[in-house]
Amino acid sequence: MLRESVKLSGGSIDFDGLTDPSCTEIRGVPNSHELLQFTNACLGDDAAALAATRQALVDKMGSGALVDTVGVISNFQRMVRIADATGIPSDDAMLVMSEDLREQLGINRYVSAANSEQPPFFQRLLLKFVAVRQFRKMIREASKAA
Amino acid sequence: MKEISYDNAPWPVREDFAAGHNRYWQRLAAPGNWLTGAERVNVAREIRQAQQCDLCRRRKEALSPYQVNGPHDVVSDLPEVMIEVIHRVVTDSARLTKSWFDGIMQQGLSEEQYVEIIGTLVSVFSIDEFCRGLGLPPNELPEPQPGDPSHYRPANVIRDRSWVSVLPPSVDSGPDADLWEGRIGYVIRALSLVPDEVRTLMDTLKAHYLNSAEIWNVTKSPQGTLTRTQTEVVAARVSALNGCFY
Repeated sequence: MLRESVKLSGGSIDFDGLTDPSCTEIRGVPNSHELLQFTNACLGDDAAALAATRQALVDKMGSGALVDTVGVISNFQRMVRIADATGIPSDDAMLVMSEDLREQLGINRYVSAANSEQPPFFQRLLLKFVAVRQFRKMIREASKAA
Repeated sequence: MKEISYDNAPWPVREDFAAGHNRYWQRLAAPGNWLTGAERVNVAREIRQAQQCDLCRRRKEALSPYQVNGPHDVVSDLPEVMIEVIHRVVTDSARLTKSWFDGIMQQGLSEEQYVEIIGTLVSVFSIDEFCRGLGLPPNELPEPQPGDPSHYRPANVIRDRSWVSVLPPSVDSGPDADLWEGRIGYVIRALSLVPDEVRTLMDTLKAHYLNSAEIWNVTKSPQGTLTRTQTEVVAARVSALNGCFY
């Protein structure tokens, strides 16, 4: 979703480091430093770091951004647990679309990767040329329609 | 029930958060489809306890959680199998495996109970995390309401590729036709064996992120101040820190 969002908004960002907790700046994303520092602290158990990064985010982006960011973090804290606890596979089209990114970011090494089997070669080709195109078209249309 | 309010938070909190959280708190206290109100509130209590549980801490630190045995530190009389589900999903969900799930089913928990526990767990945990993120104490849990679970099971569930049965990707008629609004991600369908858990999820999704129809419009920013790209960067980091492939 991130890649499609960046593509359709005509921007570009550097995906390297997105999954690396020590990376706290994503080139092309305004205020990514404050957002990522705070996200890291929210998922850790260091109360002082949480308080400090919270204040840094408020100072840079305002209190509305803090509340919105907490909303997103707490939402995805539940989404990951639903996915992990129900063993859902990734959608086939998404799986093929994200092949390169998963490799680049090391996501294939996660335990839950076992729930999403890589489709066989010919099915992958078919997905690439049919399902992925349909999926991108659906996203383009949903994004245009609004 | 004491109403949830964020009026005394150090920062102004959008009203839709408190409204959604209050609706969920009411649902938490009431009998569900497979659990009583008392069991649902006990699930909530165990979610909080899991974060202090010594066994969970030792398992989290171990190379494999399956090497560390012992009793969980508990605060309720829920059956052991429910406690294991709640504590593991809260503290170490990234290392759950199909064999762990099969073991849980063999201990007598039904698939429906399992899904309702997960639905309850993720909603309460999410609201608790919201409070923690803002530096607020967790909201006081509601008093359980009396009554029996409805035992409602949708007629058209299928075995798909997840561990649990789900509704098909589209449902055009019947009592659960309201669930799907356009294309639905598998992560939402995952709870559809207990449709009320999907309704709950959808209800608070809009305040926390976007509603399900808006998700596919990748230029759409959530309400509030963050751009869509900033939102997705935060979401991606949360998923990565949790080791979530999906």
